[in-house]
Amino acid sequence: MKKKTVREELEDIAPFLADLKEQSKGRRGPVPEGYFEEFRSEFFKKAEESKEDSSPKEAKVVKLSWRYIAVAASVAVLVLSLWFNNTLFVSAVEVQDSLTGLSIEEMYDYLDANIEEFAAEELASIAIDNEMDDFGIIEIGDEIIDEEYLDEEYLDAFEYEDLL
Amino acid sequence: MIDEKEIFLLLEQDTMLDKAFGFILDKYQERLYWHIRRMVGSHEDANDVFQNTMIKAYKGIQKFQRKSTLLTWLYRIASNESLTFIKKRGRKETVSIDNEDLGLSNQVKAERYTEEGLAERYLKEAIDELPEKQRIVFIMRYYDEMPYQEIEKVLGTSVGGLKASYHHAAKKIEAYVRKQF
Repeated sequence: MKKKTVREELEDIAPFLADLKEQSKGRRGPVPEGYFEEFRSEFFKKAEESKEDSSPKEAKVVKLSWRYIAVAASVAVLVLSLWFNNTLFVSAVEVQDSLTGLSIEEMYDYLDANIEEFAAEELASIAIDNEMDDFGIIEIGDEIIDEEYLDEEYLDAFEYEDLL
Repeated sequence: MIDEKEIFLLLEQDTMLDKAFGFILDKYQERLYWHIRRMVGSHEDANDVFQNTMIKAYKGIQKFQRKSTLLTWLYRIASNESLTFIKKRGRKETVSIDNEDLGLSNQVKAERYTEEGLAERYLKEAIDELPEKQRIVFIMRYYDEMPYQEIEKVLGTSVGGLKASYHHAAKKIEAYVRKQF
């Protein structure tokens, strides 16, 4: 089957948006005149300063994984608790459309990326409708996740070079 | 324009770091800036995030192991920096038109209130309302027209999950923009 282009895909999902995209092609928001030239010339001064400020970081890579465990655990706990308590199961037709044909792993990814916008009962409904009964990927046993690992400042302290 | 291979050849020599990075800026700075700008909204915020992104890239480039393309790696840094910034700013805070237009010409401001400008403004409002990760997927696909496989490398999310996020986002935005007219 021929792979759809970005435009064809958008026309199928959101035709009005596809038209809007076509009309506004090449138009971008305004940027102060000469911004990119100025940025380039200032950049190396700042880069030099930042070299002087930087100090070696301790290994933190292992601790970072707690963030992902925490997110995954939150989803699992939420869905499982609602599931087992047999609470509200509402249909989520629109979400179901988006999930049609996805594997369980892909659904986890989708839910993880969009967790903020789902009501708890929707998550439970999705889980049931799609037979997402395998939550064995998350094994945290009785261990309590220290809030320290979820702290914004703590996460912000990571440097990309630590992750390379 | 110089290609990635040549940039990496330069990077093998410590003394050539600035020169190599200059080529990187020439090649990718506009693309990365616009990616960030669409994520964070105003030029002022985009400028801060863009600067942090490029400084981090500069500091890490010599350790970059080339498991992905340079552009993918830069996108990843830019995306993470943007998300961190948005979280700090507060998810519900929207960018006001006044703030966004600081330093811009009156002609440009006026354009926002024409019918065409209005549609784009509604589009932007709708994008701002998306959850962060859905927003980033939408921007990469809609504006940057990145293949899902590339987005997967940047965000570490499976292609199926990305497709679902994009479809969901596009439908929501379409509904929002249609409602305004």
